[in-house]
Amino acid sequence: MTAAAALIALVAVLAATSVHGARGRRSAGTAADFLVASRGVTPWWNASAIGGEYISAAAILGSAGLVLAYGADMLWFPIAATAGYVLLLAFVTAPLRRSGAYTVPDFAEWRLGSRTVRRVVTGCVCFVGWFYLLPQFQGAGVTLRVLTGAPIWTGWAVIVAVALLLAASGGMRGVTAVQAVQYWVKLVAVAVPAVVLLTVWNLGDGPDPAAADPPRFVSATRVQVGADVVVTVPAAVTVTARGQVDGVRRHDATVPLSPGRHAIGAGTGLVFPAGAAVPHAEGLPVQDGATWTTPFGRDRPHGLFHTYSALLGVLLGTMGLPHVLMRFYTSTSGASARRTAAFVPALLALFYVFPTLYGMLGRLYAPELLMTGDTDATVLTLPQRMLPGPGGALLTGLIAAGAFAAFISTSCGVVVALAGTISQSTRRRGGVAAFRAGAVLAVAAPLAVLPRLGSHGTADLVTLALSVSACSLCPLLVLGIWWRGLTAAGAAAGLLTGGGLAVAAGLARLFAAPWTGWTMTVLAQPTAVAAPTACVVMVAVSLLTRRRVPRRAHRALLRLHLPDDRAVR
Amino acid sequence: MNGERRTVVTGRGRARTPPDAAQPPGARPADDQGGAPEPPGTETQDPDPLHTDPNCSGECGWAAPHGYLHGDLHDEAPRPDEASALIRAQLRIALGTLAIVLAVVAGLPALLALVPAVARARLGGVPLSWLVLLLGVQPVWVAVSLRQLRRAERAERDLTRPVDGP
Repeated sequence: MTAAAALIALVAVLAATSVHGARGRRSAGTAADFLVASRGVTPWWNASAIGGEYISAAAILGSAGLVLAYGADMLWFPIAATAGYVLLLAFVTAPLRRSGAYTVPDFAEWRLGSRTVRRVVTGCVCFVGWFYLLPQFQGAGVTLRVLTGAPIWTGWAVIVAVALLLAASGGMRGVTAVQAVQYWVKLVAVAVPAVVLLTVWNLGDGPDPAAADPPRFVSATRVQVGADVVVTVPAAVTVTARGQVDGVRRHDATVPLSPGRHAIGAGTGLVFPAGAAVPHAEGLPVQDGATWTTPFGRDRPHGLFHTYSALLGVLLGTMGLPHVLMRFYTSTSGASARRTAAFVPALLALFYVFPTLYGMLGRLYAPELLMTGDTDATVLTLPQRMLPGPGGALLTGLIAAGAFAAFISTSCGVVVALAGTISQSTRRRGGVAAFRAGAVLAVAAPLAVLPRLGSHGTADLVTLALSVSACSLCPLLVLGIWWRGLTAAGAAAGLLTGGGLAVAAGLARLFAAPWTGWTMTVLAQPTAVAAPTACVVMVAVSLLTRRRVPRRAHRALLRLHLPDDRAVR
Repeated sequence: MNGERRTVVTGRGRARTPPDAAQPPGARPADDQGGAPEPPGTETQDPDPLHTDPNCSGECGWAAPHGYLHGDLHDEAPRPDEASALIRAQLRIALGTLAIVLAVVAGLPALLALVPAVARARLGGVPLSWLVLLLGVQPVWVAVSLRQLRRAERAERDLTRPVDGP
């Protein structure tokens, strides 16, 4: 029944998307139409579209999973994300829109007059976009696998096909309508089940997540392990196993599990008795209720640095997301872009209440996700757990619709931004063919990496993309808009340093051997180190080359900051 | 001020072609700078066929600053010192917003990490920290962004008033 509900939801979202996409397709005629939808979008509509684009798989599935696994320490991310939009409003939107450039590389070239800087910025934009697409594809794969049992690549294929079709056929006009509608689809899809489940928990006198011991199975539970996993068993327990346990194949045999580490093979099914403590996948902390609900409650090494660095990454990274910045070009003027940005925090604040609620309920009703490590599936699993039967299936379908809306809107937004950026930097600027080729290139790179990625939570991958953006595009935009002394050499040096450090840290963490101690902390959250470094390098090299400050820098700043009806006529 | 177009410090310093005359105004403002020359004829389609952009109805892009320096915009353009004052005012407003954001973002974790009593406090059975982090901070951001919007718009209006007055 869940599978049927999920498939119906998927088909409904695809149908709605294609209708809106078709409407956009009719009016999209030229390359410029494709890029900025002729700049005729009102602030509310555009703010909804930004909300729709920004609320991604990570926001819905990932943050609920993080709260389930780590508790109060993960409540910072939504705060930093919304705060990022406040800073975006204060420092970037209106001036950036007045510059009249289509993409961030356009802005950089216009401001600094250098093709070299343009190429470096294009590289940074590509890395941010690619890292940002990874969790979208990953999340879509997990969603379809959890709901229908389909192999993980099915989700990847669906999302890539839809994103490519939408981006290449309707361009941004199609996408604007899709995005704006999808914000509200997502809000309803996440809010309604949350309210229902919260009521069920309340009426049923559900357990208090704060008072509980480490999570326990409420009833006898069968756990199916999807991929090989090493788990920590907190207390001795006897399970019934079918499959590979500690390298021994079992056929419905009772197996005593002593406290400590055990390896469970893919496809193994374990039946736990009611009241058994839930084993935790390697890397997830075993916490009692008090520790889980208390910020900085568990004794994590370098906890405060970790939190600050993550906060800074999300905060500054949000300012440099190419697909969000591109949205502001569709506003009619700098003032309208600023109004758009001012509405976004309200939309995000409304949304961000809900994922945390799922995380809390997940700890009570779906604790086996801590064992399988599929914490991203919290939101999807809960309705069936708490409301078995048609009610649960209905809610699951609703959530699945919201999740697919999230994958599609964010993927489309990023693909359009990347395709626009890539096609603008080709020799024969723009053109629909170049745009389509750019779209293919935009999805090809993450697809090539995905199969080798292993199990990384979607939220984890999004913070990676944000840290790259925070260390490269954010300093460029802020300094370029507010400081006339920025030179091409300074910008290039800063971008290469900051972007290079962030990308290197991300790749080292994803693909190199496991790290420990400070190395691990800094690799996991490089922003607090790399972003200031990038800024210092950018300013220092600019000062060293100050005789090469573009002579029209002052006039460029005037154009960026004077009201639209004064300077731009 | 036509020489303005060639004062761009470019990577290779090659001569720049002025924007193609056939190109609709405002199509590629970036190109007007000579920073990104468009081979003539590559973009002959009107990118704004419906003229949805009010700013591009007439001249657009860098034509305007030329205009105001020639004084043919009826003194609407601010004097250079006024313009610089506006930029400084806007920067002050933005830095004020930054200060609030940083105070919250830096202060809350420090408070919760260094004063465990606050982190463990409960209000009617619900951890106080959850109430604050989940429901308390987001409204602050909404208020701060509206404040920033109002102040930035007022700064721009203040620039307009003394010029429009007489």
